[in-house]
Amino acid sequence: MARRKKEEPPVDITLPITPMLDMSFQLLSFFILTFRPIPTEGQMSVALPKIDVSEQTQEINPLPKEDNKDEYTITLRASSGGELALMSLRGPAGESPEIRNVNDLKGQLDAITPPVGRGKAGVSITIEADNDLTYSRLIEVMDICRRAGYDSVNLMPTRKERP
Amino acid sequence: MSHGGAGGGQGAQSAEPNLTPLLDMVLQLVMFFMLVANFVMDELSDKIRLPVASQAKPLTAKDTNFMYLNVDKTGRVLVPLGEPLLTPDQIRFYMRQAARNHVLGEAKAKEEVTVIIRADKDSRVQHILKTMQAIKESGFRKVQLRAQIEAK
Repeated sequence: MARRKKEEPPVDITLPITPMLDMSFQLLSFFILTFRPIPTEGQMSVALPKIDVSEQTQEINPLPKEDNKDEYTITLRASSGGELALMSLRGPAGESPEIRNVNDLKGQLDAITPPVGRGKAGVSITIEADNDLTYSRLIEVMDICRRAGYDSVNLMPTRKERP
Repeated sequence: MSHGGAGGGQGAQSAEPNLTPLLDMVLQLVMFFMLVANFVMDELSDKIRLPVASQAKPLTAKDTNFMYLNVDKTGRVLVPLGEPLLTPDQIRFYMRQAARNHVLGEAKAKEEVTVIIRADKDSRVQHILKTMQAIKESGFRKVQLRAQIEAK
C-alpha cells in the first residue's frame, strides 16, 4: 500500500533575537555598573624589623649589622600632626649636615659613595621613624631612597622609642 | 533622494532591522566586562586610601603567593569576612590560621608567601611596626608595603 506523504509547507524558523538582546543588555548594564577598574597599586619590599619592637623588651640593643654593607640611618622625627619635622642621615663617616626637606635628603643620598666594587647594592639604609609619623610620609622617604638607587631599606622605630 | 526602501509599487518589503550583529557586539562587551571584573576585590578594602609612590612595583605573573593585610587609619587590621583585628595577639592568630589553611602547607607558606600591607596613608608608623612585628612573630618572612603608583 503506497502511502503518499502529504507535502507540508516549509516552516519558517526564526530565532527570537529580541529577548536575547534584552537579556544581553541587562547583563551588560550589570557589568558596566559593577565595574571597578583595577587600581594601579604597587609595593615596596621592606625587611622585617631586626629587633623586637613590642613593648615587652626594655633593653636597648644596637642594630645587628648587615654583612659587608655600609649602614646608613635616616632618622625621621614627627611633628604633633604626624608630618615630618626633622630629618637626619647618619653613615659610617658620621652625621650629614642638616636636612631641611626631602629634596635635601635626595641630594644627600645621591652624594653617598658606595663601597668599591659593589655599588649601591653594598649600601643598606635603615629608616628610624617616630611612632607618630604618618605612613604617607614614611612611604615618601622610602620612595626617595629607591629613586636614589638603594633597594635595601629597613624600617625601625627611633632610638628613643626603641624598647 | 532615494534610499531604495519600501514603496514604488514593488510589493511590501521587510523593514526589520538585522539584530544579529548588534547581539554579537553586546555579547562581546558582556564577555569583556565579565573577564575584567575582579571578583577577588574582597581582600582589597575600599576604605584604605593608599599613599602615592613612584617607585612601587606592581605585581607580576611570577608573584603568585601573597596575602593582604589592610590597616586602616586607626591601626585596625581589616580582614575579609571578619571583625577587624585590634591587638598583636589577634593579628598573630589570624596569620597562623592563614598559614595553616594555605594550600602550600604551613611551613612552606611561612617561607614563601609575601604579606602585603595595605595601610591607609593617614595611619601611623606605630601601626605599621605593630603589624610587621606580629607578622614576624607568626613566622612569615616576606613583607611588602603597598602604595599607589604615581602617574608619570
